[in-house]
Order: sequence, then structure tokens, then C-alpha cells
Amino acid sequence: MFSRALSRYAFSMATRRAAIASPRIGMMASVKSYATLPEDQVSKRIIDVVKSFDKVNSTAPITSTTNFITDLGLDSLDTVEVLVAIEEEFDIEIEDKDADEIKTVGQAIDYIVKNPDAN
Amino acid sequence: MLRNTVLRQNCRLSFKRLLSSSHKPWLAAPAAADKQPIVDLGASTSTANIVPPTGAAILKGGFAKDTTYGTRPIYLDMQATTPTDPRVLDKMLQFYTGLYGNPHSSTHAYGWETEKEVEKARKYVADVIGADPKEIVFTSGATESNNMAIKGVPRFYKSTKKHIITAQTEHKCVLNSARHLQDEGFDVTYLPVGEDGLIDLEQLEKAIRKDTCLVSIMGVNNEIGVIQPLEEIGRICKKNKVFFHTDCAQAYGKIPLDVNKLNIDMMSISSHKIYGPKGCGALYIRRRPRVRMDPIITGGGQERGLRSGTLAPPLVAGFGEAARLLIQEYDFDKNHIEYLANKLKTGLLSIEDTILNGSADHRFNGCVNISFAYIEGESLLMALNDIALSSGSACTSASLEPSYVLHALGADDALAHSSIRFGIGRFTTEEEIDYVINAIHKRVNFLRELSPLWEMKQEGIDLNSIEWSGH
Amino acid sequence: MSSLSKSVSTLPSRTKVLGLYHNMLRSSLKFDNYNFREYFLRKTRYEFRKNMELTEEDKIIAAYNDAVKQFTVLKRQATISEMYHFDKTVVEPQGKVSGAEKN
Repeated sequence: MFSRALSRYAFSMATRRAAIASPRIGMMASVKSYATLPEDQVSKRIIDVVKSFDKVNSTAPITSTTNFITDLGLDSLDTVEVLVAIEEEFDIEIEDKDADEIKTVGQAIDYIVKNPDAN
Repeated sequence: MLRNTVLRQNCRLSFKRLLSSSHKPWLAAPAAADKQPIVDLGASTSTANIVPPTGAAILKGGFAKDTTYGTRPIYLDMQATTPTDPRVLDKMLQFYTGLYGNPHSSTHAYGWETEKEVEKARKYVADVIGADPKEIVFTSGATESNNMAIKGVPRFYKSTKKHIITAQTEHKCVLNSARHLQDEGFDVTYLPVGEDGLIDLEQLEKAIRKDTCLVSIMGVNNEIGVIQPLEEIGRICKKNKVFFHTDCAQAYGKIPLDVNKLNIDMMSISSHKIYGPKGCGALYIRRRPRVRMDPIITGGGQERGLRSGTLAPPLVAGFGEAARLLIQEYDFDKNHIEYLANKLKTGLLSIEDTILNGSADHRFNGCVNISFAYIEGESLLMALNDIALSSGSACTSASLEPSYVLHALGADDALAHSSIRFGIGRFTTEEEIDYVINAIHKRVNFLRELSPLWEMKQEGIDLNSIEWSGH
Repeated sequence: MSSLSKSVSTLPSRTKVLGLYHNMLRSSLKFDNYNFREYFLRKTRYEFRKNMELTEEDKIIAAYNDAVKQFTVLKRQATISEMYHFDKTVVEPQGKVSGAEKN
């Protein structure tokens, strides 16, 4: 007798909990999407940062396939400086092992878009 | 109940959003249209896009309305003091956190370790001038060092020597000590300087008597930046067997100084002019041939008996680290300061009726003293309240008298009042210099528009020919 | 980053040198004081660029170890600088200047 009441009670609690939980999940999802940035915005900001770097000729077209060293004529120290400027722009820290991999503008954009800490 | 939970969570989220946007003011950055066009001087670079206030706002310090930039003045008064280099602070903190022993406690490790650091610092300080570490005596500053040298040496030799020589443009502590000696019965000759701020070597030779004990001439003047001919003065003094003391508080580390090449017997050094801590200085005292002096501060016999008292290891170690950095950074700093100084001089002297005070060749570039004619000095200083500057030296800034150094150069009262000293150092940036050039151009023009003397000058009236009538 | 604070006795790898450069620039940017921040950025760039041309192994090792020593001091002082805040000077923008505005 009690078991049926208990199970009914448990079932009603579960549904109530589910009812409370689902809007919360919905809200969490919206919080998560607020944290990652849209790619076109990221792309524009990164291209602006690269353009404003004084060793880069600002009239040259910069796309996602632009390679820092071969296309923009920067050396390895300059590439590090561009990465630092990007870090400042998005308020994040790029790990050393990942920083070594970023050789084109596109790779930088991908890294930022994937990073949940970027602002 | 469900609705309450949802509402509560909504509130929490919007609060979070509010917090986050307040930490991201760049989301509300001002439109480009708000920025005023700047005066194109040709010499300015792309960094000169920061606009100093214009119009009457200048005198009100009206940039309170413009919140895009900060409000703290930029620092261009390196002759008054310099910021303590973080690397020097790093060295000093060791003594405030763990190495707290008295360097004169010779019986335990606490004393030995701080003594080792003090001796290391002594070596660094001596290396800058090519001296032996044993010849460096740490004091509380260049003022104390000057007092020690100027009062101590003549007092020791007072039975045979009665005369000392100094210059009119020396620092106040030197002039005051000399005046003190006059009360004690010594004769003091104050050598005049020429229009370029340099002493006349022939006058110096003539002034030396048989009973001259000491000649004290500073290396780099703190107000006009002029470098005296130390090598020639040293040679003259050695020939006449007179002790040569030089106040090198401003010169130390900035111009090449070798005490043996320049025949210097005593040199005053200040720590806070070389990016070290305030409250420490040193006096170099030659040992071969020996310079004897009466100590001013007597006590336990520390520092060869010449300056008793417990040394402050943090200050001394900071001083030593600052000296070590001077040698390490000499070329880097010198090139930077020269580049900025040339830019500043070209930018400011392009305004008409401006005069660079002091010799143009024999000068240290980091000190630029310029007079702006037809402007009232006080109002110029007030107009420049977003730039930390000085007119004359810090020690005399409290009085309303014009600078005695500029008087000695032959400048009249009005010109002496309207002169500004710009101090450039290791940490000055090109952006700051651009800002200063822009600001001075605007404000000098503004003040001259207000000035009746400028109006008369524009009309061609010779101001010296006017008879000002008293009422 | 802790591996970058150790001196080396053999030739440091390219990644290590660039990693040190990266971290020194990051530490320099942390300074609260405008003048110190600009100075250390300028100095780091100058020193690394000056030593870029070195070819002798012992000189490279010495330069790297010297940089490591300076990096430890820089890191400590940057942290201390973050603890004391002062107003921004008249040449410093109040908020963050985005890349677009710099042009």
C-alpha cells in the first residue's frame, strides 16, 4: 500500500523536478551561447588587430588564409607580438603549445571561436 | 513556485550581465566624431592622437569632462626625482622580508649576509665611476655628501688653508655650506658663469690662491643641464694641489665619469636621481693621495670613521642595484633619451620667441630648460597642470623668487619666471613627448593671445623703450 | 610556464625562446604604471631582437639564462604592481581601445 503511494509521490516529485529543471536547462543553454562569440565578429576583430600592428602594411588584404610569416612578412618574434595583441583584445591567455601552432589568421580565429573564455 | 524560480533566475542573469558590461567599457566606446582634430606639426607621429584640452578649458583643467583618458599628470620632472625602477624594488624587498640583520653585527649570519650585500652594492656604485669600493662612503643623500665634503675638508685643514672656491650656479646645499664656512672664518669665492652656464677656466686659475683648500663645481647643473668642463678643472686643481669636489648627483651614470681620468678627489652621488630609493646617497673620497676630512656625524666609527651610523641595507642595496642597472642600460637609455630630447627641443624651439637656457653643446640632453617670452610664468605653470613640470629647481619652488641659476646666466626677471624645465628619463615615452609638444604649442599660443606685451611686440613696439609710469 | 623559469645548460629550443618572449610580454603588460609597462615592453622587444642574430652556442645560452633571470624579477614585480592601483595618466585611455579604434 505504502509502496504505491510512495511511487506515486516519487513520480509526482520527479515530474515537478523535471518541470522545474527544464526551463533551467533552457536558461543554462542561453548562458552558454552568450559565452562563445560569433565567428564573423571574432574574424573582424582579429583582422583589425593584425591591421593595426605597425609592421603590417594596412592596405594589404587580410583573409583567413593569410600566413603571418609568408604573406605579411613578419618574423617569429612579430608573430608572438600579434598573438599577445589578440590575447589582449579577447582577454584570454593562449597556451604556449597552442601558440606555436597558430600560423595563419584563420587558425587564430578558430582558436578564439573554440575558446569559451574569450570576451 | 515554478514562476518564482524562473523570475529569480532571470534577475540573477540580468545582474550578471550588468556586472559584466560594467567591466567592459570598450563596448560603450566614444564615437570617432567626438575626437577633435589635432594641430599637425609635421614632426608628430601616429601616436600623437591624444588631444590635450583647448580654449579656456586649459586653465580650468577642463579635461574632467573628457573621460576617455585618465587625469593623472604625466611625469616630466626627472631632475627632481625619478621613479624607483621595479628591478630595484625587487632587490630591496628581500631586506624587508627576510634579510633584516644589522650589517655591522659581525658575530652572526644575519649580520654577515647583510654586510655581504652592502659590500656588493658598494662595488656596483664604485664601478660606475671607476673607483675602488673602499673609497665609497654611504650617506643619507647628496645633500649630506656635499655638507661632508665642503664643511669637513676645509675644517680639517683650517690651520693652513683658508679659502674655498665654488660657482654661482651650484646647488643650494653647496652654497649654504659655503656660507656657513664664511661664518667660521673662511674666504669663499663664488665664480660667475657665462651666458652658456659654463665657468671661465682662466677666472678659476686666477682665483686659486696659496691657501685654497677646495674647489667645488657640479658636473651637470640640475636646472639647465649644462655640463661643466670637469677634465680641465681637474687638471688645474691637480696642478695647484687643491682638492677638487664635484656634485655629480645629476651627472652620475648619465655622462661618462672616471674619477682618475678627471682627477676628482670627492664626488657626491644621489640614489634617487638614478631610479633608486630616496634617502640614500654616497660620497666618493679618494684614498691615493689621501683626502682627510672632519666627519660631521661621529659615533661608532662606521664607514671608515667618516660617517658613523647603521647603514640601511635595503636603501644601500637598492642604490647598488640602481647603479648596476645604470651600467647595464647605459647605451639603451642614452639613445632613448637623446632621441626624445631632440624631438622635444625641435618641437618646442619651433615656437617663436623661445630660448634654450644654457650651452647648446655642453649639455646633458635629459634636462631641457626653455624660456617662453611674453608669457607670465605663473599662468604658464597653471596651464600645464596635466604635465608634472618644474620651473627652476624643486628646492626653490616654494619661494616666489625667480631661479638664481637663470639670474646667474644673465636672464632678466621676466624671462627667468617664464622658464620651464623638462626632465626626460628612462621611462619617458614618445607618446608623452608628443602630448607635451602639442599641449605647449596650444597653451603658449593661447596665453600669448591674452598677453598685452605680445600684442605690442606684434605691432613692432620695442618693449625696452617704454617708460612704465607708476600711478 | 614553470619550465621557463629555469636556466639551461644546453641550447634552448625555438619553442622555449618564443615561449619566454611571449611570457615576458604578457608580464610586462600587467604593470599598472603606464611608464613601467611601456618601458618593459620596449626593452623586451629590443633585447630579444638584438639577440636574434646570435650564432655562438655559449652566447645564446648566456643570453637565454639572463633573460630567464630578468623574467623572474619581472613576474614578481608585475604581480606586486597589480596590487596597488593609481589613476591613469592623461595619455592612457580609460577603457580598452579596440583594434579598430587604433587605426
